[in-house]
Amino acid sequence: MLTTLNLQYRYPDNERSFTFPDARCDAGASLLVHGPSGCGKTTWMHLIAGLLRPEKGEIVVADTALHALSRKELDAFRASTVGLVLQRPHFLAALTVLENLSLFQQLAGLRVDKTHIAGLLEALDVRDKLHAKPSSLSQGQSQRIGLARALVNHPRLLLADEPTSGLDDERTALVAKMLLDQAKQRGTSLVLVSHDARLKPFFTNEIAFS
Amino acid sequence: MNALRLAWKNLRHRPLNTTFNMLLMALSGGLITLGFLVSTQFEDHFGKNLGPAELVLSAKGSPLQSVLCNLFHLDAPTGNISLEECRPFLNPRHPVIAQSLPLALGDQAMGSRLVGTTTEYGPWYRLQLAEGRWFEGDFQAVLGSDVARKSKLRIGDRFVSDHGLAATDIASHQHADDSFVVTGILQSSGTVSDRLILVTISSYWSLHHEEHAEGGEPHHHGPPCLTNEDLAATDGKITSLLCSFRGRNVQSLNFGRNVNENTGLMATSPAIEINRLYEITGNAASLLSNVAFLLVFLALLSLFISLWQAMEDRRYELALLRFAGARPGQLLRWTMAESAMLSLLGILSGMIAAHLLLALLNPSLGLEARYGIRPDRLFPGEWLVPLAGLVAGMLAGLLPALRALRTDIHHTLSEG
Repeated sequence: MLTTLNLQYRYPDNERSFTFPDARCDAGASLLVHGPSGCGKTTWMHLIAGLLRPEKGEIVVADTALHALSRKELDAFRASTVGLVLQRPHFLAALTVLENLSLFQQLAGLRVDKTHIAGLLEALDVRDKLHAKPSSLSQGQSQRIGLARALVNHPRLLLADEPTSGLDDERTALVAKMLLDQAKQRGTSLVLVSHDARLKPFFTNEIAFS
Repeated sequence: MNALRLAWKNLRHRPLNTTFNMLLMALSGGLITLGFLVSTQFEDHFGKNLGPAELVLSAKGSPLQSVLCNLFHLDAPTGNISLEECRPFLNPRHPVIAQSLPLALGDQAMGSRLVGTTTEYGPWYRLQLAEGRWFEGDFQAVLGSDVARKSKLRIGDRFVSDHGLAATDIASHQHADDSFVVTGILQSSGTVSDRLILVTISSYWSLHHEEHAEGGEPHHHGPPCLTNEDLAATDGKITSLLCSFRGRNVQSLNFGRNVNENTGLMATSPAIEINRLYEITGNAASLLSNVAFLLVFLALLSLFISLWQAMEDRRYELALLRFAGARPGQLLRWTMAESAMLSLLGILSGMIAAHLLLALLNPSLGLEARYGIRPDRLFPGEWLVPLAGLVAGMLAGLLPALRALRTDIHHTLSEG
């Protein structure tokens, strides 16, 4: 599903550069990328998502070699293949939850499927927030809806960036289980990037960045 | 979710900001519309009502007042002149004057001005009768189309006149003894004649019979004066004589000055007086339009600043949209659609407000009746105003949109 080889990245505006260990995640499997803050975890994740271009090395996601794609192709590839879960999900404040998720379907070139959206929210226990504005959601609710949005286009790869930072132990366990459950149910590979050591027990595959 | 719907939702999401910006746009668009509506129709009105008159002979007084009163029926008469003094100018074989039109003014009926004149009036202003015939004797009246419509009078109906030009005039009282019969109704010409009641000058003299008797002046006992020749053959007072020249030459150029220097009459050139009037109103109009354009600039600046701020607030949204596959061109369209929509809606509501304001002020200020300013008319090129608003709105949105596109997705998302 995901293979990286000899990956290196250099920021264009400074001398900082990162060399990443090779990573591999099979289809439907999960992987924890662990390391201290500032070790380049988010940068690595954005390389996988095709937001950044590596200086050296190869990335293959879902049998597609990213370096072979143009900018436009990368945008389309990302929209249809990758789902992103952020530490704090941001929504379009002017739109309801349903409209936010519909817009993401539309941007990926898919048909707007309200039944699918309602089903996702149902599975994540936030069905009643379908027509709510993002500003009215609690932190837990918006995290669930953020996950629903990441899953709305049936991505083959789900990326999660520090989804548990700032949560207590109980919530951390809940979020980790939710992500793993949803990924497993939908046959999606999950790559979670975090400095949070509490997540280690939930994953069998792990890479440490330093 | 297309660009317009998203723009609309974003605008509704910030109601205060949107309202303020729309008000500013509406105010500037409304002022521009108001200015053009008034100035174009005002000048059009004065141009149309000038008729063939190249010189106005009246009692000495204010030249502008004489023109306003005798051509546009706006001001009060400057006084009376005697036919004796005018007689040479009524002569069809006068070397300088080609045609002339005598007028007796100062009374009104049913809120419309009563104009004593001769059968020359119709040909002078190229007026056609819609029904009936011209007056063939005293106390017969031809109604302008607006007068007929508002008073609902038909051929054969009778009405009485008031002395004085305003119904509230202290000096005014009804001429109850004498009533007029309607003999004709004019076709609408879009000029001031639509709002006048035309009668013979000798009816005017009969109306003022009492005053003449009290003042010891003679009053009219003879046959009705229908034509200029009838008038030339009698004695009495009129308000003015409108004249056209045989040609533009040295004689006609000096004619007015000769009259002013050698007779008790005042000769006024309508063209000169109207240009003087335009200069005064033109200054007011250009002040108004300068203020309006300053407001447009401020409105666009405010629109630009608030969009710039909105883009700052929406950095994450935009980065997420880019992550989710939105093309840069798409985000550019969305942002520009938002400012264009706001600008267009603001301008359009301002334009509607300008027309409504004129309609509201029309009855009390007599805009249409006095100055020919119709609230339901568009000025030439009015459609350009919303178009300009649309383009200006898009331009105001362009820079914030480009800035939004420059936002680095990686950096923005990394910040959390």
